[in-house]
Amino acid sequence: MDVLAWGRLLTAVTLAVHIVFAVFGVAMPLLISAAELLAIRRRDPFYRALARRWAHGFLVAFAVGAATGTIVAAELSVVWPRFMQVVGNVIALPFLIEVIAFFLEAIFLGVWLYGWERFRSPWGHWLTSLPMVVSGPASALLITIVNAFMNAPGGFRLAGGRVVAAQPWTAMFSPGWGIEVGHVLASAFTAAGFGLAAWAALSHLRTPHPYFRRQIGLTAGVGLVGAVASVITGDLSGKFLAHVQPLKLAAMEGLFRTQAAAPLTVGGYVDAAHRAVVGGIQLPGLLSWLAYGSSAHPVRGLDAFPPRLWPPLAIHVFFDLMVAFGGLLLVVGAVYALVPSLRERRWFLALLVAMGPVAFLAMEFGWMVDELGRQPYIVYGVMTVGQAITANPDLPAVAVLVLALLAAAGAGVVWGLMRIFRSVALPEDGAAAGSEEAMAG
Amino acid sequence: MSLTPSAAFLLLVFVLFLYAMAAAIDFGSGAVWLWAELRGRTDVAALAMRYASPVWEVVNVFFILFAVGMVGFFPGAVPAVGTAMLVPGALGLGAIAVRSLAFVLRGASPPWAPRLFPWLVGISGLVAPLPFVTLFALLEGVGVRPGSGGLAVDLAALFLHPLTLFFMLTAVAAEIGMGALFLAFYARPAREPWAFDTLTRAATPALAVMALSLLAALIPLHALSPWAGSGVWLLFALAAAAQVAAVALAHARRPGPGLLAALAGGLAGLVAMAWAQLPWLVRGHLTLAATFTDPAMAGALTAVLGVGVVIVVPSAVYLSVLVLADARRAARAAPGDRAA
Repeated sequence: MDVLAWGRLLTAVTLAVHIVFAVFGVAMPLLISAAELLAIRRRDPFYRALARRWAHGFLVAFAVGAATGTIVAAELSVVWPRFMQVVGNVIALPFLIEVIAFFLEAIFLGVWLYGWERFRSPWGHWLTSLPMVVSGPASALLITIVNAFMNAPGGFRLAGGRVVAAQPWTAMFSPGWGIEVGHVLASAFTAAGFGLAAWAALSHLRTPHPYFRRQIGLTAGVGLVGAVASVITGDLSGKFLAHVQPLKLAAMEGLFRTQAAAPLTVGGYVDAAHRAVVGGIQLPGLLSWLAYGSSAHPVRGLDAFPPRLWPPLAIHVFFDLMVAFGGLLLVVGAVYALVPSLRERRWFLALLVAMGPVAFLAMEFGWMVDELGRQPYIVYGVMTVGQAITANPDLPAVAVLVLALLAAAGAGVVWGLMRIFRSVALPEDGAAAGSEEAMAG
Repeated sequence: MSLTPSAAFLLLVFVLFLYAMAAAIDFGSGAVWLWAELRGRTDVAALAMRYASPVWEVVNVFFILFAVGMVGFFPGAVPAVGTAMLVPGALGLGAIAVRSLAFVLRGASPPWAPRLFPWLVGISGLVAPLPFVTLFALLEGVGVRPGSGGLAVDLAALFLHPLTLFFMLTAVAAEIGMGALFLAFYARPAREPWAFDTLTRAATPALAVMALSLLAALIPLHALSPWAGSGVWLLFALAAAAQVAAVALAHARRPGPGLLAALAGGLAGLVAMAWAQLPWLVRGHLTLAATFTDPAMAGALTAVLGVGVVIVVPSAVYLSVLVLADARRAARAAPGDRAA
C-alpha cells in the first residue's frame, strides 16, 4: 500500500468511528427534550427518569464525539494538507460556526443538568433544553455543508493552483447543500432512534418494564420519522446527482451505457471487465423516471466519462445495501406504529434489537457511497486525493499506530458497554412509579 | 473590518492558552485521581471525578477551535506545519484517544486488573502534552528544513532540543500543579479538609518545578528568538513573577488565587513568545503575512468569531454561576460542614 492508500484508509476508519458517536450528539438533545415534555404533560415520572438518564448517556457520547472529532480535525490537516489549504481559504466558515454550535451544545447541556432545582415551573427548565435541540443538529448541518461543497464546489477561482477571489458565503451555500443536509440529518435521527430503540428493546426482553416500553415508543417513533424523511431526501438526492454528479449516479446504479428509458438495477454486483451488473434485477425505465420524472428520459452512463475518473464500481453494492436497510427500517418502524398488538411479542422485540445495527450500517453505507462515489476527487473537479495527500513518508507508520489504537478502542467500547449493560439498574423513581401504575391498573 | 495577520495570530495563541490550561487541569486531575486510587484516598478520588468531568467534556472543543482557526486564518501554513506535525500530532492524539476511552470506562475496570483504567487515565494524560509541545520549538524553526510539499522535520532534533525538553518538563509539572490546585479549590467549600491539605501540599513543589523549568526554557528560547532588546522582556518578567506568586499562594494554601496566578503566568508567557516571534509563523521559513487567508475569508471569520463570542461567553458565564451555586448548595447541605 502506498502513502495515499494508507491516508485514505486511516481517514475512512476514523470518520466511520466518529459518525457513530456524532449521530447521538445530533439526535439525543431532541429525544431528551421530548421525554421531558412528555414527563410534564402527562405527569409521568418514567419520562422524567428517561430524560435524566439519556442526558448522562448523551454526555458520554458528546465527549467521545469531541475526542474522535479532535482526531478527525487534526488528521485532516496532517494527512490532507493541500485540501485543508483550500478549505482555509474558501470553506472555513462552517467549521468555525460548528465549533460555536459545539460550545453552545456543551454549555446548555450543563445548564440543563445543573438547572433542575433552579426553576419554579417545570416549563422553565424544559425551555433550557431547546438551545441543545438546535445546536446538536446544527453541527451536523455545518459539517455536511463542507461535504456538499466538496461534491459541488463553488465560490472561488483557481489561478496557477492558488485560490483567488474567495466568496466564503457563496461557497457555504453550494448547490445541493440543503438536500444533502436534509438527508444526513434524517439518517442521523434514524440511526440514533433505532439504535436507542434496540438498546431499550434488549432491556425490555431481559426485564419487561413500563419504563422500557416508553423508551421504545419514543425512540422507534423518532427512528420512523427519520426513515420516512430519509426516503424523501434520498429521492431528492438522486435527482440532484443526475444533474450535478451524473458520474456518481451512474456508478451507484451500475449503468454503463448512456440510454433513454434507463433501467433501475436492484441487487447484483458490478463486473467491470464485462461492463455489466451480474445477478441484478432490471426494472426498465425506472431510473429515468426516478432521476428525471419521465421514464423515457436519457440517463448518462459510465461510458460518458473517461474510465480514469470512474469511482470504485463497488459503490453499487453499498448503495443497494443502504436502500435495502433503509426500507427494512421503514417497514419495521411502520409495523411498530400501526400494529400495537405486536409490541410486546418477543420475536418483534428481537427484531427491533436487530434494527439497531441495521440502522447504523445503513448510515455507514450511505456515507461510503457519498465518499467513494466522489473518487478520485477530494473536491469534485478541482483536486484529486492524490494531489491533496501529505508528502510526509512517515504516514504509513502513523496510520498503523492510529488504526491499532482505534481497533483497541473499539473493542474497549464494546466490552465496556456490555459490562455497563449487564450492571444497569432500573431508575428508582421509575420503579416506584411502576408499582403505583400497577396498583392503579 | 477584519483581523490583521498579527492580530489573528495572537488570537489563536489565546485560544491555545485556553486549551493548554483546560487540558492541564483535566489531565492533571486524572493524574491526581490515579494517585488517590493507589493510596486509597477516596476523598481525593471523589473530588477528582466530580469536578474534572465537566472540564473533560469541553476541553477537546478548544483544541478543535485552535485547529479550525489555524486552518482558517493561515491556510498557507497547513501544508508545511501539517506535514511536519504528522508524527508528533499522531502521538499526542493517540494518548488523548486512550485517555478519553479509559475515562468513559473508568468505573468498569476488569476484575483481573482492578486499577487498569486509573492507570490509563493518569499516565496517558501525563504523556499527552509531550509530543504537542514540540509545536513551540517547531514554530521557532527547530529541526525544520524545506522539503518536498512543505517542511521536512528532523524529529530527533525537534524532540531533543533543550527548548522542547524544558517545555515537556513544564507541561508535566503544570498538569500536576494546576490539576491539584483546581481540585483543592473545590475541596474547601465541599468540606474535605484532609483532601484540601494533601492537594495544596502536592501543588506547591509541582508549581515550583513549573516556574523553574519555564525560567530555564528562556535560555534556549533566547538563543532562537533574540527578544532581550525589545519590550517583550517585560511580558516574560510578568510571566515569571506570576509563576513565583503561584508557588507562594499554593504554599499559603490559597488555591483560587494561586490558580489565577498560574493562569496569568501561562498567558503572559505564551503571548510573550508569540510577540517575540512576529512576523514569523515558522521562524526563518514562513511569515504570517505570506500564509494568511483570502481577505474575504479573513473578514467573514472575524465577523463570525465576534458573533460567536457574544453568544458563547454570556452562556458560559451563566453556566458557571449555576455550577458554583450547585457547589455551594452541596457544601451547605453537607453534614458536619465547617464555616470557612
